[in-house]
Amino acid sequence: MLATYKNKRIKRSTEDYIIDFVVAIIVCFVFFVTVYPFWYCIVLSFNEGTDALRGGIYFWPRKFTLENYNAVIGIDYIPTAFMVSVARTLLGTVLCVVFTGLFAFAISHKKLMGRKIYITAMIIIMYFSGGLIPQYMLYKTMGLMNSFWVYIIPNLFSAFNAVIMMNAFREIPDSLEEAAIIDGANDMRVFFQIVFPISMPTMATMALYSGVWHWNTWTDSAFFISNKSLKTLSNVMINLINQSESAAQTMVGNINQSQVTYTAMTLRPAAMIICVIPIAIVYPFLQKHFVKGVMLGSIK
Amino acid sequence: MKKFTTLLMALIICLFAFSNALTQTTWDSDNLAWKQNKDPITFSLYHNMTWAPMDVWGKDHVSQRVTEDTGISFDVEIQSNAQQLATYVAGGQLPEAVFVFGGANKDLLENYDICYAWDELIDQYAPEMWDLIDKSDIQLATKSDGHFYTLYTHVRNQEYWDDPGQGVSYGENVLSFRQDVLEELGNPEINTVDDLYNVLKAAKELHPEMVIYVQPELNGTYLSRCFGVPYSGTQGAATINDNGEAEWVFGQKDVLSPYLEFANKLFREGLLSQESLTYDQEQCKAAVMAGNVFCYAGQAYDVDQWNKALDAVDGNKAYYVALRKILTVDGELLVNDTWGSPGFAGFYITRNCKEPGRLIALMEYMRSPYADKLTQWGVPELDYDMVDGFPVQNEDYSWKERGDNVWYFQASFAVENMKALGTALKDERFAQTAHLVLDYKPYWKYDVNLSLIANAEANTYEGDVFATLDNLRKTRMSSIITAKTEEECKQGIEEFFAALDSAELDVYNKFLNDQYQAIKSRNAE
Amino acid sequence: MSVINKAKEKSNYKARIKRSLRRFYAQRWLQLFAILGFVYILIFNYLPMLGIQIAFKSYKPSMGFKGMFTAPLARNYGFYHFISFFKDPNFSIVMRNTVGLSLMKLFFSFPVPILFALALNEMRHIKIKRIVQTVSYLPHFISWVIVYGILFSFLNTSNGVINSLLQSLGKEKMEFLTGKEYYYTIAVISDIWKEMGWWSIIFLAAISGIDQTQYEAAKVDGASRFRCIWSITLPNIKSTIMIVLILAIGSLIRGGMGGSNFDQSYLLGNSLNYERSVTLPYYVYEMGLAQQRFSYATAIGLFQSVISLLLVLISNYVSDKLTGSSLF
Repeated sequence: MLATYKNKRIKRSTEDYIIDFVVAIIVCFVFFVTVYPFWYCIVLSFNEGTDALRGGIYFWPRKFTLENYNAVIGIDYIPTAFMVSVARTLLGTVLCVVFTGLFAFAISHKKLMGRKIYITAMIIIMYFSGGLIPQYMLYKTMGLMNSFWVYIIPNLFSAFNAVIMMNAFREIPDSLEEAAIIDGANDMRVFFQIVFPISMPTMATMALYSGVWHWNTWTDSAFFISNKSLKTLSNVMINLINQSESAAQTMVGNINQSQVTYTAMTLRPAAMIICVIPIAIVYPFLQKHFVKGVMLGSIK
Repeated sequence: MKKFTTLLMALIICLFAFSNALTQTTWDSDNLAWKQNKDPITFSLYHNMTWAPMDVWGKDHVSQRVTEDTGISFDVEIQSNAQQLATYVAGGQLPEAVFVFGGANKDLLENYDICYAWDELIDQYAPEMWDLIDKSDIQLATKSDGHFYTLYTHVRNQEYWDDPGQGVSYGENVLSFRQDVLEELGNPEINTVDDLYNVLKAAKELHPEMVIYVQPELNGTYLSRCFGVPYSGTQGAATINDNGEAEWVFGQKDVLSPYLEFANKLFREGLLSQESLTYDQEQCKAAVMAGNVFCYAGQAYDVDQWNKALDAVDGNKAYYVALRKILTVDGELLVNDTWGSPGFAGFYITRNCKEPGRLIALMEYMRSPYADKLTQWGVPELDYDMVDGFPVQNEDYSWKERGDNVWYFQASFAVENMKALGTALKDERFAQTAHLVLDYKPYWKYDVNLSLIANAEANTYEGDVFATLDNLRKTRMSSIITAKTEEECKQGIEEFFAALDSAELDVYNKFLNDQYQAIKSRNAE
Repeated sequence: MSVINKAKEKSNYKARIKRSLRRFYAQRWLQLFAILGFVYILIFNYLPMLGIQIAFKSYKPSMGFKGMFTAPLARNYGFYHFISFFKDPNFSIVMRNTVGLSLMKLFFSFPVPILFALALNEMRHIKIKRIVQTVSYLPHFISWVIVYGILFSFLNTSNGVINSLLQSLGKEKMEFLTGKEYYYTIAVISDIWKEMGWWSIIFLAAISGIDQTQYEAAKVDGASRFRCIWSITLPNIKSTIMIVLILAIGSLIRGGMGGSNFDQSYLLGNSLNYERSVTLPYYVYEMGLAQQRFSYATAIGLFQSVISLLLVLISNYVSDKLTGSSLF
């Protein structure tokens, strides 16, 4: 019986064709609509600045050049900014996911005493904020001003992540935990050895969201850090992207003014691409955690 | 005997004059405060000249020379967003020196608790400086508490204005036309706004594919100036009405209505580009560079710059020539601009500064003609050469390497203008600015009292009223201009003024007028 | 009799405390995790909330930090700033745009990531699926400034592609960037484009957590693919959908799921489409922060926060009653 089942060709019903067709259309559409603007940015970044101003470039650079990238990489402090961004992203993400995860794990238990208080406290902070000046004073008092730790310490907890994680943990059947506790594990071990691996898709997502947030955020660097060697890459890039034309040229140039051909129009995409490349490299490694079937067999 | 007495008298007089000359302070005197102490020292500095993002001192020629001369260096921070300065003030985190422009920033810093008063510093550390400062500059910067916290850069006073060689700012808003299309139209005379309308219409018939008139939001005020709406200059944009009272010009229906209706007519006939009303400088430049704009409003300086940029493009035919006059409306010249610029930026010495004496000495250095030229032109002989009495800059060094127009803490207007004119001299085709600044000078009037009116301070009742009024102005005027029919336009105008009235325009006008009358009576003494 | 009752009560009371303490001890690790987080947010989130008091005061930055506490109460018993805001000529426009735009974004862009995740899940070719998924979130990384730059070069009237096409077809140019009537459409579409791929990641993660045996059992029973999606996939990610929906409703004022109202108003908005583009976050910036009016900005911020919290509470309650899943 099993043998014949394996050898039989799987029939495709009309419904299969319809669904495949619809899916194909959706996917193709999404692909082109999201790829094209990105492609457009890449094309612009490899094109000469003043030429790009005249418009009409859509699929391929008209006057190819590497000068935009040279210029952006040549900005003062780019190497240090890059290292700072990498360091804060790695450290910040790991600490945030663990710290927030432990909290989320705790409040996902219905029997936790004081649970309502913890959850309410967490929800309120998502909507109420005291503004910049009190933050300023707090960080100053804690000695975080102008220090690398201002990137990490105030971001250990993310209410949004906590909510998503709490929901994921609630989905895990209680029997799993109980089995582990009967075997003698304490809550800490339960978290790291059972809950964390099982909810890997969610954890990977949280790590991605948190990591990308750390990589892209620039307001803390702009407001709380004046030491140039502690600025993040995102801050430097945002400055370039937001500057007016002449400022952008001044920021990158050491070239004779009349020979300058960069324009903001091509410098900005180059800056943006440089910021995105590290993420595009790291992402595939996280992506494999979104694959189906992690749950299978765990109960056994 | 008589001869002897006369000789003695003469000798005494001579001695007196001589000793006076010896003790009279000049820019070259030895007793100047900055010459006394040249020990190296570094201060923290914050500035908001975001178009020149120089955030390091000592890498360019100018700042290197300043350190050589005075021993002072700076640890620089540039503004990264608009509320940063206010946050620093609130958090007590101000650096030792702040060099900023902008009325709100000045209001923030000109406070006895926040910054040192210069008059006190000069008395204490550099008393000889009193001989070197113009009284009118002090008058401009003095606050109601009797102190002045800075002396502003780029002040234009009577002396500057009387000099026939000096003109208006090279940022003057002018109107430029495509030369080749004008020739096709037979080089018509353009003297009135109706002439302008006819020319634009004729151009559209000849070239329907072109964008006829581009009027950007920034620096596009030429047309409104023709109708009597003053541009920049006076802070709150106030004018004097027939009763001798100061009034906010955008609340004056008889001035604004004709302009709005005329602009609306241009729009309805497809002569004014709708999108251009929202353009900033970059976008306007991009539109012009795209090659099919007939007429645009912009800065005098940009006319030459953009002509130069167009020239560099292969196969370009476009060259723009600026109109050298202001147009009349119904036979009348309505333009109503007052000069007497109260200054651009200020250098403030905050209470966090540990050695204010060195900084006030630096200010003394900066006010000298030598430093004025240094910080605005560059290092002499290295960065520029003098040609026909104007500085022409050396193209081998980039702006970043020269460092001019960044550290100009006590810059003067005349020196800045001379540089722009010098640049224009290099090639006659790109030198329209040089005569434009003189052509437009006669249109400006003098009323120093009007220019001394200060904007309402933020976080006061009048400040809140003004914020609402200004917002209405910014958001409603362009909608009125782009109304689809004449009735819609007229209705929009009525609604606009009604909205201004209910936003308490009278409160703000009273605020302006009270100030004006007070300043008038104070200066009449 | 009462003496015995009182004694009983007392021993009940003691017993209850004893039981609570024992419960607490049993969950001591969990309590530790929870309390650590709680103390953290007390310090980093609640302490700064003291700054909210300036919404009721006449605060000037020159007063310094201490000024937050010592500044005088604003006019009208401290409600001056709120009243100013309600009386502002643009108040109704701001509220209409904010709510309208956010509702539109919620309505149109909320289902899209879910549909996309479902569609992606039905794909057979793993490689293509991975590539498409990676590519789909790229727009999230394109800063709004650049999005605006792209939109500008495509939609502008002097040399934009769309308008050049229209002209060559003999039609009139369309003022996409400055026309009031286009703003909502452009804002919603660009929002969907930018955030769809990013939000689909959460749903994909949730889908991948579904027990595969459910599908196998359904197939044996002869269920069609469509039925599988409708009866298995969707119900299993129901709680994720509801949570994300509740959070999105809570951010209604800030701009739907992407929170993009500010960036769009700032970049795509201008004086000509102001009537449609000005939203509350942008208004706070334009009339408050950019003019150093911290008190005013804080007051409006407080107004925003209260409404957002109310929305969350209401939607949480409704979700609980309707679908059984809720935030808390």
